[in-house]
Amino acid sequence: MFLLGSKPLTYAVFADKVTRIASSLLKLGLGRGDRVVIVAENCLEGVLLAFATMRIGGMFVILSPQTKAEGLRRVMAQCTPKLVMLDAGTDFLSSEIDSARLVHSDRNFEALIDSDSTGVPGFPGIDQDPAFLVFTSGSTGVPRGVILSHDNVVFVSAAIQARLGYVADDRIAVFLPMSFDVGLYQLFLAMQVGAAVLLNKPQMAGPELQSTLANHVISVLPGVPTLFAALIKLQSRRAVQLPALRVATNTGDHLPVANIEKLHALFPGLRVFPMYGLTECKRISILLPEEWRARPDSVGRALDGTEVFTVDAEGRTLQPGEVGELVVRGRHLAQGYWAAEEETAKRYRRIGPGRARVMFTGDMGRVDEEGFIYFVGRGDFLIKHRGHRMSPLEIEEAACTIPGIVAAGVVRNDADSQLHLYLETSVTIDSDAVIQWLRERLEEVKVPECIHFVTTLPKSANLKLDRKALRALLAQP
Amino acid sequence: MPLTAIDIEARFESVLRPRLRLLAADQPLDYSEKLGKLGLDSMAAIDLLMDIEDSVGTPIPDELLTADTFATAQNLLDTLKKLAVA
Repeated sequence: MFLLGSKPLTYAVFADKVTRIASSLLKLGLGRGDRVVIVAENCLEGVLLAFATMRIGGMFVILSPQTKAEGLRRVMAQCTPKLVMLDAGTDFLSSEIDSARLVHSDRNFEALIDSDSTGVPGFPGIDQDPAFLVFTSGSTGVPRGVILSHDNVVFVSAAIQARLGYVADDRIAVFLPMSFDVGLYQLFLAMQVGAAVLLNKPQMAGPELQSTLANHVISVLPGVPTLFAALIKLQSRRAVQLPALRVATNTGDHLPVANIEKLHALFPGLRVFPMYGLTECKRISILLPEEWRARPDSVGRALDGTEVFTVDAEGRTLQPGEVGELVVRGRHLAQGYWAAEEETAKRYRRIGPGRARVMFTGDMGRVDEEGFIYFVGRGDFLIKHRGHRMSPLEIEEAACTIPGIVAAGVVRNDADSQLHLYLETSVTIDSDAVIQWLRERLEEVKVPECIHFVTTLPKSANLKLDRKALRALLAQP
Repeated sequence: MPLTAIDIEARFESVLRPRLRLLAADQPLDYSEKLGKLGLDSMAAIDLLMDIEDSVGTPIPDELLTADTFATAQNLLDTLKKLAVA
């Protein structure tokens, strides 16, 4: 079985439907190099259309179902798709689509499944052809489409599999949106081994999270820190037996060590893999569970066949242990940003005596003698406070060790020159006790002056802590 | 201490409101509006579940923890009233 859930599908039926849709796409005049945009919740139709697009040598673009008209307009202007698919929730965007053919997942999608699939020729391209674009916020604030080739996908999927070790019997629950590469790649990872995938909407990661995992006998849960915080909250309150759950992978943001400990306590035998990556090369490093105990702060070693090192502000390679910008090399490096040569040239450069093509991550970190990578922070979100540069992650991590706290976000308010710590909690905690707790664990300069309790921290569509929205909270009384 | 349906109804809105980030304090609650539109995301729904269990005094059975139960205020209230003591 490939897809689980209300419309289960075997790999054989999936492949057949993909070929039939590919046949329709060809008849509609689409071909090698053409773009198809999908703006929908995680759904079977979106996955079928994405694979059919690749099948004919085209490239697909999956956008968040929360995309607004302005966002879609920008993407459409950049990548000029020939076909767009919407669903019930994104139907209001129909009026934006004038130059492309429009398909609705729940109205006329069936018409795309051709009754005859015999006329579909073999894959028309080569492995360097783009397979899809993943839109991500660009350095200038305009979203940019990262171009991933078939070779990128094949290489990185095998390298990820070498660390995570999915098996054919695995059942993977995807709560992350397909517009986020972490959600999308679960399909490729599953296909490599013949595992099954349960597609969920992100909002399904609520009160029904445990029953979803139990009912579908889920064994692999890819997530972000907020998803694991949700699972910890629920499981601490009412334990549900989830004996099949064996692998949890974290990405997007740093998973606090305290929460990894809690996951181990709640789910004995669960293998938790902290990971680090950027859409621009998909995945950079994975820390194995057996490596974690000795290096709880590391995000692991670079994927096999790839290299990570640090450079200083002038682009000079640094020694192991020295903090600098993390730079990545390997076959997983994307082809660049779609129709954005300037930004591509900033991100992907050739350096060193060998003029090697590398990707500048924009993240600060260090790599130790053994190759273990330590993430210090986004180059652009390090906090400068009372003359010290610090990563908000360190403070947030310490805050998450406080009993009852599962998520934390810290920002510096330039107006009052103080650090403000926002804590997500459902229990009552004394601010002074929080400060005392942190004082015992952090250097004085890193102890926030102001503590705020919130029911929910602001999150982006990908469930990551939204630092911009967090900053906006400062303006509130 | 489990509550009666009348007690639940009286207490319901004061428990729900704080979890609806996008509902202003002076704005009346539309019981048929999607709670997601009022700011109830998956994490807030989990917190709400715990608030409800604390204030109503009855655990909500697993089979009722569905997207449907948390879809609207009316759905949620109806579910809770079914759990009330006579």
